[in-house]
Amino acid sequence: MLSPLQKDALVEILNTHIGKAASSLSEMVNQKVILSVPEIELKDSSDINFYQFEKEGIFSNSEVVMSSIKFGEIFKGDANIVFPMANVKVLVDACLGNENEPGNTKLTNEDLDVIKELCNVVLNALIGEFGNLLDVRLEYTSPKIDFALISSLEQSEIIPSNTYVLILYTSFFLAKSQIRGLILIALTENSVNLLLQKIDELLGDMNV
Amino acid sequence: MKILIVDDSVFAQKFMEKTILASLPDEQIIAAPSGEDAYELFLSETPDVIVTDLLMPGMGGQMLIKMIRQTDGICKIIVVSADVQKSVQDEVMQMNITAFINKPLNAEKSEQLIRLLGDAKNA
Repeated sequence: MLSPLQKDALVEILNTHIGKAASSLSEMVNQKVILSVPEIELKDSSDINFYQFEKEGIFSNSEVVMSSIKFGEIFKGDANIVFPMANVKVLVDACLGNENEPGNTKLTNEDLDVIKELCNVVLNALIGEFGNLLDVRLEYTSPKIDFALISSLEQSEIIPSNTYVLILYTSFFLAKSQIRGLILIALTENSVNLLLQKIDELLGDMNV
Repeated sequence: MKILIVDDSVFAQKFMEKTILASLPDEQIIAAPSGEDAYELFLSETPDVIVTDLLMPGMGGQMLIKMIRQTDGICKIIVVSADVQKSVQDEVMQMNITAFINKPLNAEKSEQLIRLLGDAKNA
């Protein structure tokens, strides 16, 4: 779906967006955060199987917290960020300036509010930069949060059919911990075309 | 001075309240989790400054500002939002607001907020 050159350009663009998201996250948790995007994939939604993420060991514990926002209208889609449940408390404690108790993964309503706000800031930084890149105005829905076993998540409710999914396998490196996460951005065909058109335009400007 | 904080996140509300009171301990803070509640508080409490998020369930910050500006051009409004889009910032800045600050509030942006609130108090 992506030529090697388009993929290279997209990784570069996403790295910049991820850098801004990492900077926002760092300000929230008050410590240095390195957010890496080691790998990206663009797949047809029909080729996505959440169970695969669990099977491939993306999440050592299959319980996850997922936060999602919808955005549109010209560049339209759904953005989801998925964290293993075991690591969410680490992020929440970092935000609140609390000492993390190893093994304590129990989340209170206040913790969920914190993680929702954190995901909101990260997803806004990531998706909003697409708006700036494409020079289009994005409207967002308010973020929602779910927690479940990844294999039991209703895939069709999260990833609409007839979309293309940009998968970002991310790692958040905090001072004392590494948190693996997944960012899934489901885009309509028109939106993917708009993005690829922009990438080709940028590559053309550089005579590549 | 009465300050109305509008944010659907209790965490964000509490963080802003704590930040403001650390520098301006004598100010009165009231808070609302939505645009609808904020508008009611705006009518009943007549705050001097409103610090509002944009993206909230139900009535968002932009609609809230629009409704307030239909009858009140004096109340200071500061937007604190995670939205990084330049088009959104430009549009909201046209609505007679004092400033647009991007979330999250780090030390530098917290100082900016305090400075703006200080200016509003002395105006």
